[in-house]
Amino acid sequence: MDKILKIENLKVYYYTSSGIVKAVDDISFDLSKGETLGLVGESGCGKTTTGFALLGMPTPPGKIAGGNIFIENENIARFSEIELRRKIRWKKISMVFQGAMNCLTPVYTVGNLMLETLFQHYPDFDKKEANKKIIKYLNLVGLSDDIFGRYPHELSGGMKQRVVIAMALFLEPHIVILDEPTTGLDVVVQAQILNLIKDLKQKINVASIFITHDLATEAEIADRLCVMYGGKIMEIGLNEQIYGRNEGIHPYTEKLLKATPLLHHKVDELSFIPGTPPDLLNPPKGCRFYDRCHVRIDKCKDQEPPIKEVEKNHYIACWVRS
Amino acid sequence: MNNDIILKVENLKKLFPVQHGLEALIAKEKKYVHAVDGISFEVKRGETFAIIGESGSGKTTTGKLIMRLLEPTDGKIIFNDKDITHIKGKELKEYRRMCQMIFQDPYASMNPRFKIKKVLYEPLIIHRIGDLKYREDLSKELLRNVKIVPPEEYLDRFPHMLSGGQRQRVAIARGISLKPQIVVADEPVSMIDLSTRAEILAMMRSLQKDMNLTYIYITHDLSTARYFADRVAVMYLGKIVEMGNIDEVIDNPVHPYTRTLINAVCEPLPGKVKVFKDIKIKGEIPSAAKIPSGCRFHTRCLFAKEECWEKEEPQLIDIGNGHSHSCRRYKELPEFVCNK
Repeated sequence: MDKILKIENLKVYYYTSSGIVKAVDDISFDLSKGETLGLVGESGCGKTTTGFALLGMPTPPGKIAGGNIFIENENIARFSEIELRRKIRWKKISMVFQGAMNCLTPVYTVGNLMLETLFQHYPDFDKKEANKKIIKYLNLVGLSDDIFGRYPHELSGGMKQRVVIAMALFLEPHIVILDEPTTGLDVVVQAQILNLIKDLKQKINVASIFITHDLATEAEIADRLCVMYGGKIMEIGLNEQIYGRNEGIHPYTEKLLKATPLLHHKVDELSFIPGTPPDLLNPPKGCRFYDRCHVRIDKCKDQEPPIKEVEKNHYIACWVRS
Repeated sequence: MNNDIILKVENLKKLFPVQHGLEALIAKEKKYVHAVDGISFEVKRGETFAIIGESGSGKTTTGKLIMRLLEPTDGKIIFNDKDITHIKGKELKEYRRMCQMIFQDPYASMNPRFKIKKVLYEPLIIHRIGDLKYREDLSKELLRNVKIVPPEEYLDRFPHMLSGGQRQRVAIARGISLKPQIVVADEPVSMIDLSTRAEILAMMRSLQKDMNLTYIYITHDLSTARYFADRVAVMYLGKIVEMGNIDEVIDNPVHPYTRTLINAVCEPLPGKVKVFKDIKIKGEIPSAAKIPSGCRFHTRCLFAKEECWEKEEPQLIDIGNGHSHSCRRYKELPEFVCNK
């Protein structure tokens, strides 16, 4: 399968006055054409930082401290800001930001907002064609033509989120990153947006990375699952290799799944993981999950487990489970 | 289950005026946002009663009305057989000791300039309970109850030095410090990481057993409600559309809105990616200032017929087992297909 994105040993560190926070600390994964990878983890695991790094814009004081990011065989980790702006952002890769629907400029109509984006990247685009393109994508995300002339405050939360998705797709990038696209939306609206994303996957076949803390929504959308914890990848595999399984998965993933209440199966006891994630200013020497792990052995304390293939396409970073 | 009713709400309403000042004086027709538009329910002592709804359903306003943070526009709230609907002053302060609240945002519900000990002392000081030594000892005991140990290490910290989960525990400790009878918890775990959520809920449950607490659990998350609550009321645009035992309502939902909510829920199971969610609803939620005629859900209901918008608003229909709902056409609805 064609690898449209390849991340090798990526490190993104925040250089703060208290020290260096190793938010993303040597991660590697790839993405094939048309595939959706779910990047899952709790707060502080490094998933949003990874997302921003893929656009070449880690939030200051963050910097890419090492590793390679190959988008269609070009290493964008080495690109300058100008090259990123001219060649990569919104052309090769775009992003639906977390809470983006609340950041739509209130003084621009939806149409003008999208026109502005378009002309930033393609200044010589024909104006008539531009309008047509925008309407096409608004329709694609389930919005009627007249939304072109509306202001963000005239739209509901769900409609605003559709606009943001249209904005990420309409310049036809090859990869789209969606960072918590349904968080903060009502249950019904969330389901409608997830249906929209499923529909778009069939129609457009763009590769995407779906960042979320919610395993339940990841299961709806993604083909493969990548679990992050403490700046590291704990597990990557196909959804079927991880969901619905009780053994053969990373202990952190196992606990996360057991901590998710199910609607249709009543449980008496929900699992939880006592403790808190590690301090990334001084990350632990061995496995990042050691302190909170229920199957740890002595080796886990001092030696970081490498990520190993346990079955085809399924990788686990654990001394005990791999 | 016992029959000891701790809280009874009768036809409760809360209307917020849309126009203010001069505009309100000269307006021909007064417009109101019908946040809570006539709800009635009973809560038994010691149970967990969930109120489910999306934004604009009126669930948070209901919580605030129960707490008397807001005064009802109409209807009654009866606590332990006493009518507390319009109490004021000393009586209201007395009530506050017995009904406490836990808020959603552990970052916003605590004064950032208060050390944790001050956060915990504050309710005791306001209600003039104990002396300094008593407050010190009680605060340590409370922190131990919510598993913040050793308590001495945390009393002198500021909120920003604690994680979200720890802050929410302190909020719970503060909420039970006055030994209340009812605790209104408005989305207490939705801003907490998944791996800690269950711990907080488990802790709330054990506190409930020890203190015979009654919880009013307000949330949009049906899955945690199933885990945590005994009974549930589903709200839409200010009204209760379905109510009953939590297992009964989730396994056998009757009202089209409840059915929509249940089918909209996601679960972390394989085989979901190619399956579209079957959500039988259309349009957007109407403005609470312009409530649709008849059954207020009719504008979004795929099964609505003339009687739904021409006849008067349907009341809750009791279908046995403590289960009630407000769909007058329920016998003509197709069988519910659940996307499990």
